[in-house]
Amino acid sequence: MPPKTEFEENLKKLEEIIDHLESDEPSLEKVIGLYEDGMELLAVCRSQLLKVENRIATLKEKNESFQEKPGIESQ
Amino acid sequence: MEQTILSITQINHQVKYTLEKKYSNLWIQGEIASCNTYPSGHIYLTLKDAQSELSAVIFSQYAQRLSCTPVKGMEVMVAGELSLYTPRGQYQLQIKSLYPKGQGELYLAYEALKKKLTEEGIFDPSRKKSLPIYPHRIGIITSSEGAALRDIIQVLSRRAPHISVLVYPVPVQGAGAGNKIAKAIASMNSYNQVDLLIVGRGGGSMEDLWAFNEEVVVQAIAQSKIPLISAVGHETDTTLSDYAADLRAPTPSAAAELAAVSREEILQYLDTIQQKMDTNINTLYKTKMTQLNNLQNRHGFFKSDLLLQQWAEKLKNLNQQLQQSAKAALEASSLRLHHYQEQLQLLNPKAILKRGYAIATDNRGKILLSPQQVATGDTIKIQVAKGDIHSKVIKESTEHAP
Repeated sequence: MPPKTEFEENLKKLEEIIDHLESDEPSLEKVIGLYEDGMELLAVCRSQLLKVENRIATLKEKNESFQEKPGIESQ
Repeated sequence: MEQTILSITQINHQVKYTLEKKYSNLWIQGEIASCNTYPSGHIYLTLKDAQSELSAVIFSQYAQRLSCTPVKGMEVMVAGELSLYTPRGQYQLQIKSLYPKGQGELYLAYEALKKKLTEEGIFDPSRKKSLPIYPHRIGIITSSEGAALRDIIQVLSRRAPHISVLVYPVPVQGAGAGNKIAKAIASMNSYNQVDLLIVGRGGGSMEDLWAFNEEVVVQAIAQSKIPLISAVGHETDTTLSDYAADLRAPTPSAAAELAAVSREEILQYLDTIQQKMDTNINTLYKTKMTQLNNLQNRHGFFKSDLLLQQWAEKLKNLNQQLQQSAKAALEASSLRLHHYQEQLQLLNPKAILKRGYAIATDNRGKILLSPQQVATGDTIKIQVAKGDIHSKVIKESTEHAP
């Protein structure tokens, strides 16, 4: 399986932050740090999602080497 | 040895048993000579070839699942088993599946390959990879001309515009299609730039979908390191590729839906996370605030406050005392001063003059204490309370004994 996407990683970190925050009695300094980290990750995730891409490319293969071409090309 | 005499029912049951045991897994080819469907849903047919006929029945449970409708004159290949209808003593073929001639061979090949690959463990559930929940880029292996590609891209751009797509166009039917599909799967794996693969095509006949039953494709799917969704034909079509894939989608559109959580759903999830974080930090803030307040109200803090008040009070009192005693001391001093003044007043020689005494001085201003200090005729000054008397000595007397 290929490595997890950056988005997936960020989301995982966010979930860990929530777990930390919900664990009993973290220190106030730690909580503020976690909260700030969390807000930053949220902003990153949202911008990753809202960056409208849906880029479409076609993979071409010639003599064992690959080349991507924008759009859909016929076989 | 005594001859055993059987009843009709007994012999029919024995023959039925023998037939079912001996002819349980048959493939038979022939032409449909007659075909009738009854209200029960059972279909009764007569199959024939040039020389013979055979009665057959398709029970309703199998009739519902047929891939084609049997009609008189159709050349078919059927699978089933022989049995005996005991009330009439007639033997019949109980058909479980039926294909038009040609497709029957394909089906046999399909079954044989399925059996072989199953034994090899290609379809083992343990081989299935989990799909990424939030793929970033999806690879699509299908025809660049087909509806499948359009459908997938349409669904993705509506639901998940944040996901990019890498298309590997391949022919999906005809000679060589299987090899090209298999190569595309391998290439996508070695290029390794997508998180997920969708392999498939739109609906078609069994022959049209055949490439997805070829062993080379099934093996390539099983060997893909990138999680793979198969999307071949319609809901009712199941190919061997579907068994090997990590997930089988009933249609290409459904594959796109299954591949990606919609952007709106993810955004909603992010909102939920934020809500949780906000709630958490607010709760914590409130808790700490309460703790702080409780601490402030504790005896210790209270005590120091009280002490401070007491000290202030004390200080105020001390100050008052100090002021009072200073005032008293001042008053006493001034009283004494007055007294001294009075005493001093009494000692002043001028005050003595007021009581009638006089001071006599010679012409040099020296106070006369003895008659011997002057001679007759000297001028002296006698100082009295209200002025001076200038006088002349008439006679100096002798000095008194002290």
